[in-house]
Amino acid sequence: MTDHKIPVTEDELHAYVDNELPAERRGDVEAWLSAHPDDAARVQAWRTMAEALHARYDSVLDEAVPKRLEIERLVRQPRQWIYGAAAAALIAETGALSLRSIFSFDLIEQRRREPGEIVHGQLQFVADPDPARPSPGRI
Amino acid sequence: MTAFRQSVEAMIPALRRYARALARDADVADDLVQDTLVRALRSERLFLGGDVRSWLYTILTNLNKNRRRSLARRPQFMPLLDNNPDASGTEAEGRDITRALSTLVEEQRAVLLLVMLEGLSYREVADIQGVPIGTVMSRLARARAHVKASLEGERTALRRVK
Repeated sequence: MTDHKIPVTEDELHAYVDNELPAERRGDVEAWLSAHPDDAARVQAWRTMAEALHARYDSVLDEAVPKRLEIERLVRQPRQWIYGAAAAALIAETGALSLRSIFSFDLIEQRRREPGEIVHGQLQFVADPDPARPSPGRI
Repeated sequence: MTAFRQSVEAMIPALRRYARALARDADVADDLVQDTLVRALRSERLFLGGDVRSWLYTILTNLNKNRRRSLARRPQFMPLLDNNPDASGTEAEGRDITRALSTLVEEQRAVLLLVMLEGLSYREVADIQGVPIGTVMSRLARARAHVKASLEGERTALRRVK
């Protein structure tokens, strides 16, 4: 037997509205609400809120499902997805390689300069046959 | 069609509703649903039984979190008015609730929608978000208080104009 004098907490009010409250406590909450109009108004506002949400979004349930979301179509397509991912990986790797080669050119240019020597806009870019492999002259 | 695919397919309307409320924009919402379905179908062989419904909501919730995280790095242009409210309900009410939702932080909006719109239990939402039930309940309480204040604020503003 629950003690009817135990005050109802805010958590219990939410649980009551969401049908998460143990059945034996529901009666206590209902008695509490009839004695506490502020809490009763809050509970009512939450119920109105739920109705507004359903009124606004339930119509989506009745919409025809777009073709692009059809299971059969999606099951047939994963290969395209894999090719797409492979292509993206390839592009990313190519990008990383060219970045690395730019940086290695930069290093080579700096190492070729003597201390104090000023180079005026005459950078010569020599194609590095394999930018991934360190060239012999580089540390 | 396998039983797994059938149970995924049966969830599409509810996933679209959740995504629409979560993301507001209908095309973005369907993108989220499509990504969710692709991931679920790819993992068909890894799925060892259990609750397909909760699992799909989990994928969608996480995809949306990632989407918003990447959006946060760019400047956003939010439409001031939702020009495309769904037909049901009065349009003004629909706009009010949509706007109130848009002011919630991501985790609170997801909890509110999963509980109030999708009818999931606190336990299920806790598993979806990977947090204790107490966190779900405090997020829900804050979300409800915020939306209530937002709706009442708009009503007061309207009354003042009249």
